[in-house]
Amino acid sequence: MLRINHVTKRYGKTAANRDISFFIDDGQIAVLLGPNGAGKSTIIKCIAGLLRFEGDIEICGRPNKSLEAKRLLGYVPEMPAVYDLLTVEEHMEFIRRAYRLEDDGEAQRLLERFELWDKRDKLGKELSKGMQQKLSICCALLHRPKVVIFDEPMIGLDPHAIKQLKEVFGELRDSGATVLISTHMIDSVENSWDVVHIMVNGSFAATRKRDEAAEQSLEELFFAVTEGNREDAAQ
Amino acid sequence: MSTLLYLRGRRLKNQLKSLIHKPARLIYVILIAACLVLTLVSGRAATLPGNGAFRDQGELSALAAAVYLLMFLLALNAGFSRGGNLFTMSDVNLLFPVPIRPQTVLFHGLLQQMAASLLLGFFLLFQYANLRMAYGIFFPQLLMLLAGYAAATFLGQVTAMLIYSFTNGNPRRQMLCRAVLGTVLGVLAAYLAWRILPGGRSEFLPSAVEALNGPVFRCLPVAGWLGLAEDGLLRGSAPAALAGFGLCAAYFAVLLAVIFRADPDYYEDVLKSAEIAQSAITAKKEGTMTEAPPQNVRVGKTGIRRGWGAQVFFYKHLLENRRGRRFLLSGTSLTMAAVVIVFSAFMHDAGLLPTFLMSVYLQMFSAILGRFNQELTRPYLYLVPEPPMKKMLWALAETLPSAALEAAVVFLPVGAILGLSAGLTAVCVAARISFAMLYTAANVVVERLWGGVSSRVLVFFLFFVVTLGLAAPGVAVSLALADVSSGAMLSADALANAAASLTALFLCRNMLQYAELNNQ
Repeated sequence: MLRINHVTKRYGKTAANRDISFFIDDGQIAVLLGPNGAGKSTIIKCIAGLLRFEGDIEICGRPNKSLEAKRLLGYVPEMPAVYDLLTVEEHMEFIRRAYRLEDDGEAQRLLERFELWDKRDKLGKELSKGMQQKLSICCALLHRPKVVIFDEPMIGLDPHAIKQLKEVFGELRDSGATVLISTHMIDSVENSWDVVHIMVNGSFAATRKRDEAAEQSLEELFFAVTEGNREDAAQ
Repeated sequence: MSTLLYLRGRRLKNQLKSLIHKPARLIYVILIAACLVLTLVSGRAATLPGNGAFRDQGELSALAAAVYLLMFLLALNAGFSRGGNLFTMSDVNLLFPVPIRPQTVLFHGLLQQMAASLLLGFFLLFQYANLRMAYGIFFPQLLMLLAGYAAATFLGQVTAMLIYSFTNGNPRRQMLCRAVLGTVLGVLAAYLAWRILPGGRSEFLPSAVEALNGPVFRCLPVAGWLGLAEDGLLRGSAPAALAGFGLCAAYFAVLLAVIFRADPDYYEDVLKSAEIAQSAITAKKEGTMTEAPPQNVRVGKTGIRRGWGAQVFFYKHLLENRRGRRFLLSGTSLTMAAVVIVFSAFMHDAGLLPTFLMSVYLQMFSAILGRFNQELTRPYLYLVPEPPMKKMLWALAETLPSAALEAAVVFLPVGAILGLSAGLTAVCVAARISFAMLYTAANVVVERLWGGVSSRVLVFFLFFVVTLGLAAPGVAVSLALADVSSGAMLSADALANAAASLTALFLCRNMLQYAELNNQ
């Protein structure tokens, strides 16, 4: 469960997020959409505990900066976060040791699933951008988090990895995890979303649940909100 | 050509305009200008030794030749792996596809590099007061030293480009070039050792000056010729100056002719270097400045194998250090160590203090490249569910063994050159380690208090100010003990630095709890 309560994030005089509140229940996939510069990555980084902010964020009922919350959170950053001088397998070992996990074979399973097992001895700096992104995803999922946030996870991924990732979204939901995905690739989440939040200029311009959207596709909904907004602004 | 002129003019105009929009940069420029003016004024007003009792200017031309050689070799070394550093990634993407003759574009790149080389040597101007008092030189002579420095860097870059175009993708040619360069350097080192070492410690400086100003060194391309030119300028010998600069100009003309004849399609030869430069620029913007990993990493034994929870950061850093360095210390640390050792030989008569100050000044630059700074830009340090203070200490722990080794590498030879006792050498090592702690703590304070500041210039300025603040107690205690002994002074300084650093770290213990990772 993820609860965001009146979160505002300012960079100097510019407010990147203004008074944002939302809630995602266990076993729910929420999608965050919005044009460039809408503040999606900022709110994601606030949830991950990477930025200071005003307001409250709770992960499974604990403040997001507490150790308990960190243990329950998985985060896939927008830019793949890999170390140049560690091999693929060492990245997994690093995360396993940092989270104090015994080696139960989950690292190998994830690497095999994302076709990285045969690259396990390659250094981070030798991986292509797409492979770095896959590794970043594996690192975020290794400790079996209860809340997972993805910031543009599809960028650079090959079709096989996209397929795997979509399956992962479904499996996370089925296992009762809370999932938040920020993306521009609307097609990639068309079939998996439960609730969508559309951000414009640092605030939520619209929130729809799947059953409220009726026959409207995610793309239609997105353009109706963002282009409608632009027209309003022009008037 | 008009396109290139437009580009150059527009860039310059926008750079000037950015000073108005970014007050931090403007303040930085004003401060630098003020410091420069102060240096020039204090240099002019400096009390000069009576009866023209300056140091031998031959020392200065020898020192200049040694520095020129170092800069030329550093640029040359890049030629084996990535070519000349003449173009930026925007040039590659926007200028190379444009229908302009490659020769014209190369001319643009050379001009760009010339300006960058001059800027690189800007720090020399701040030595005016010291050089005026020691060698009695005037400002125009200092400008010529700067011109020599820029020329050595520039010609090194152009040579690097030629080497890359000759050796790119051909390991045999690469080996041949490396063998030739290695042989020349080996012979040169043997010659210098033969000239310098027999005189013993007391004759070290005169022998080194004589060897570096001797005919053999003068035959060395670029560094030797520039040394000759500088010597001519300092001693007022026009023929020597003309000969030195003339040889360099001829060398440049030959290089250009060879580049155009052998490979007018040079774009590929500068691409790699532009990509690396672009990564460095991005890293700098994002605050991830770090020593670039070597081109070919020897992976060796795999697995972190140790560490649990926050501890694993320390063992990961040790593993990264093993893979990221060809030697036990980084290239930057070894270069700085070499500079300090040479400096101590030249400043032999001035005692320990100038060498110690030089060593801790240069240490600041290697401290900035530490693994902790790099770690701060990755999310894991914040995400790992461990207490923030514990994570911070384990992530910083790697700096201590590196700092101790670096201090030993610097001060064991320096101690021998300056004739220090074993005890005093050990105190110097300890004091230098305490400065590593100080720089690390300053870094942490800046990140804790101003982590959200995106201007790197301002961050560096704040780092400098915080460092001065943390170093102040040590300086005060040292000054109070100045009359006792160097050992007492440095010991007290080390203790004060350690205390100030630990206090600062303790006060910032929650830094990783309240991160401001706004660069990703």
